[in-house]
Amino acid sequence: MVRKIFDRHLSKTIAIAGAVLFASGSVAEPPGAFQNGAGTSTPMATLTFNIEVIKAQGAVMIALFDSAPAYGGKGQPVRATRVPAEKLEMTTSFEGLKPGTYAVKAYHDLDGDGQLSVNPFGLPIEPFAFSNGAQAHYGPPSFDKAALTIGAGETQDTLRFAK
Amino acid sequence: MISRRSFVKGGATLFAGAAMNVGKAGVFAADSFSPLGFHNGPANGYDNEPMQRVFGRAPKDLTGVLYRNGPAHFRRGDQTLNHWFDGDGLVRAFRIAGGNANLSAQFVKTIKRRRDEEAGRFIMPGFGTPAAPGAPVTGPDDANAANTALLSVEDRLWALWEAGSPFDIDPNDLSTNGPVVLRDDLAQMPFSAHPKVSPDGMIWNFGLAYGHPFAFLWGLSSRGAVVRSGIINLPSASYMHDWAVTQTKLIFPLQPWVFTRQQPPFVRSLTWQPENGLKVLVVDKDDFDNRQIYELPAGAFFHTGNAFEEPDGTIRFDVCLAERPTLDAEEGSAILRGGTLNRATPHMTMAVLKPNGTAEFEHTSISAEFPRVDPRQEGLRHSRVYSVTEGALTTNMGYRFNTVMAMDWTTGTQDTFDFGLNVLVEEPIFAPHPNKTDHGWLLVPTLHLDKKATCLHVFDASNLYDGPVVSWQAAAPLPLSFHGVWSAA
Ligand SMILES: [Fe+2]
Repeated sequence: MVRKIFDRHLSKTIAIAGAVLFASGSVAEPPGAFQNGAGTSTPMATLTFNIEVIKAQGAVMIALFDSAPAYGGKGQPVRATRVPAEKLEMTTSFEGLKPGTYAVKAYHDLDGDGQLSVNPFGLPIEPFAFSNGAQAHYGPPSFDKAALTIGAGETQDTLRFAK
Repeated sequence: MISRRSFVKGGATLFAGAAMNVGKAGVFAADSFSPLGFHNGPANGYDNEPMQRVFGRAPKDLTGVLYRNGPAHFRRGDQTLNHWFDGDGLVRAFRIAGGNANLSAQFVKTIKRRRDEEAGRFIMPGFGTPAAPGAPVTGPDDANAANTALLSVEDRLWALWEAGSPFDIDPNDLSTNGPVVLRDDLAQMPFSAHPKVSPDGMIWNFGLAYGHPFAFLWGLSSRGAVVRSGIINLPSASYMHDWAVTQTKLIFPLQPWVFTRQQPPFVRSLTWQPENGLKVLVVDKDDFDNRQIYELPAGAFFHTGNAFEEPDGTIRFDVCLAERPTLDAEEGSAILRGGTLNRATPHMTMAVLKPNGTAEFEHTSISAEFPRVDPRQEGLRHSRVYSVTEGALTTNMGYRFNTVMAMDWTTGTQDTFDFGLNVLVEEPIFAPHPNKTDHGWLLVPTLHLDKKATCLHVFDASNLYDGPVVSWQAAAPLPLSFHGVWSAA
């Protein structure tokens, strides 16, 4: 019963000490989002991510968004991928993108359950990262902070999972 | 012949033979505009610095370490923190052995401290200090100052904040190992600064879901393993710094200082609503769903003392109760800046929860903070509760406690020792005699404003009035600390 009442609050944000706010499930995506999508658009741009983890375990889950609303949870990622974390450094590329502005939310699925694990207060307890080196501040960084504007050809960025 | 009471009370006499270490004094010279209790502590720490015995003789059976914690970094460049509670934790170790004492101190190497240091300024948030725009705050442990209390768990020392994980500290060299993950799925769950250790070794603690009427309950074995846990629904989203535990009950006193809005810094989200009174939630240790709520008149508090049950089911607990919140946003800032404070005074109070469901406060007119009891009586009936109190002469400048007290609820009397106007007295800690069950000592740190030095005094816990049996003086002053723990050798 208590748990039930509590769950309602998980859908919002929860305040931590000093009014530290962190959106729960910030990188959680709709079911099916993390399938390797076949490129359907004209191959014009490639976005390559260098991935750095501190533990070779589980997989890194990456969701790529092309708009602030989608990034903010009001839409689907344009691409998503699961990169097995077999080493401490990996790369993955999204090919065939339209030139434009993109942002990534990613997490390191240490336990391999396909979800961003949260503690009982709804706080993410698996490592997460955003494109453009953007950092969380009481929740995920804005689309603008995480955004990469890419033209034709390859653009590289790094996703560093700190803890 | 001069009594030890009059000897120690003559502050000038006490320190007449105590040469100051000029090198160490230089550590705080740059902070001469800040009140001494709130200056920046030693950035590189102290390593077993001998303390000078300035009075008396150490009891031969008293051997061990008094560990203490408290905020100790308040200024960077032209910045001063917004609240006393937000300074980085400095862990101090007063080691007593062979009749001597020495002092070590190290800052807890928190994520917060590292990020502030890298930025060259305070950027991380706290109780009364907002985060700088864009500061990386990914979870509570990023803001964890590990600055409030300490807990001994087996052969480790945990530095506690109240809204994040304990920080694991090496009890020997005071180095920091990092946040403690008590269980993988419970990472970053809040672990308050006031765990209660039952005589059987079980460690009970709570953590608040700040902003929501829930708490997380921790029941740890003496080795720190999570053996009980759960979410408790609270009657209000009150700010609760401390709680109380009896042999069979967990007691959550919920003051009407309530989270009403999301307004950084944290303390600005709290609203004082005295019309709602103070509710006490009592939960069974064995069954978290077995709950009872008692209603009491409004009052504000940071600290409880001990709690116990009487044979008829009455529950009693000490609480240092003020008529309104102290150390709110304004006072927490003013105290760092040496301003005059018009603080509400907490008074030693006994809360009584009766079997018929009613409750009352038994008030006293005696100011009190940092109440502690003999740890052998945790959760059991006690009559003497030790605390700091105000002496005959105090000022309105910040911290006003210059006297150590034992309040005896059975006799209704107080046993006090007043250090005088220029001394600030910190939380007294009871060190049990190693083999006499009814005997122990009270370890009382003080900060001497005139001599600019931190001291440690040992009292016979059954007789404070006669003054310390031994006093040691450190070479330099440390900022005031909050809470400590005695670890017998
Ligand atoms: Fe406290």
